[in-house]
Amino acid sequence: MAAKKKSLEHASLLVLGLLAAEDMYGYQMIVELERRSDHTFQMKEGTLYPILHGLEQEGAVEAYEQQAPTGRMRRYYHLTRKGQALLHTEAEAWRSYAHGVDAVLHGILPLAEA
Amino acid sequence: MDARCEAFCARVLARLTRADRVEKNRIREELAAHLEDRMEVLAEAGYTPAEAAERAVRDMGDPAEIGDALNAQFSRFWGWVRSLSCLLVVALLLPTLLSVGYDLTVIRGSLTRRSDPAQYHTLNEKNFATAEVDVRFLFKDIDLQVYETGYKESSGEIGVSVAAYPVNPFLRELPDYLDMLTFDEEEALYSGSSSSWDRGYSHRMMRCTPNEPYPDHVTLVYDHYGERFELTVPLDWEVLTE
Repeated sequence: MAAKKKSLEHASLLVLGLLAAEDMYGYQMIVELERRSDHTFQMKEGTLYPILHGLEQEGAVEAYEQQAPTGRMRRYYHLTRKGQALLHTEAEAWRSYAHGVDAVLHGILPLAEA
Repeated sequence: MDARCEAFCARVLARLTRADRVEKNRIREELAAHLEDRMEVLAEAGYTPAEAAERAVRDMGDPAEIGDALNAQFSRFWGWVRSLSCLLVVALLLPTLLSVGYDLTVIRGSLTRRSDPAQYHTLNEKNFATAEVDVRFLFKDIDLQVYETGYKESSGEIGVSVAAYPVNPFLRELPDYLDMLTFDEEEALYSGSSSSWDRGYSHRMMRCTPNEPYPDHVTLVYDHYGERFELTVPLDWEVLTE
């Protein structure tokens, strides 16, 4: 049997999802992730950088530097074609997984509420 | 940058054994920019600068864990290739250098400083408790690297080990202007003294006595004929007083 490809960490999937809309720098991603998830996802901020560098090594994102109006140099990340394909595949896998979990919980929850 | 943020970055970088200097600098700049962004937001929310720095660092998480996770992204293989390439270049150049009378001790000292300055734990020998740091600065054609801080409880002294190496590894001596690197007296935090640069090995141990106990940093400064630069060196008291 062929070895199953290791699935992407959930945090990596979220990062790719954020970058699908626009290029972002690290701190911007943390803020946006909190905002969009209605504060459900509050990660230790520094753990974002190993994820970003890992995705960069894989070729899923590429980085470039741009000066902010304040003069601060910021490192923006851009989703590559490979990253878009990865996001598409992993998002499908996640939806399928979430659907499966929902289907099971759908039978359990009424009992729990009773 | 705030000393707490500097200390955080230094603790992350200290774990990056596989990254080269360029990669480390890039990561330092990225983390520093993040911390500054976060501090700005906290300051707007009413935090004092000290509170903002403390909170920003706390929100980042464990620096050792982040450093280890980043280090794992760098290939051990390419690290070896880089080291082997350097060795090969040196091996090819050696016969030429020897024929023009180069002193091997100088070359060896210069190269080992670049690859692993922390192996020269000079403060340990003087009974200082030590903590690794990695604070770097390119000054003219000289790379300065503070790689170790120390604390001697019996005397209350703080120590700093600095490596300096010319960008050109075959330069025989450090330029005299480096003797002007001292503790920043304008801060009036401490009175200091330092040994002179060892010309052969390009390192220097600097010691000072703080006026107030446990300062969160010391600043090294070069200020001569209008040229000035500062190096803020964070002091990790958790490690130094372990």
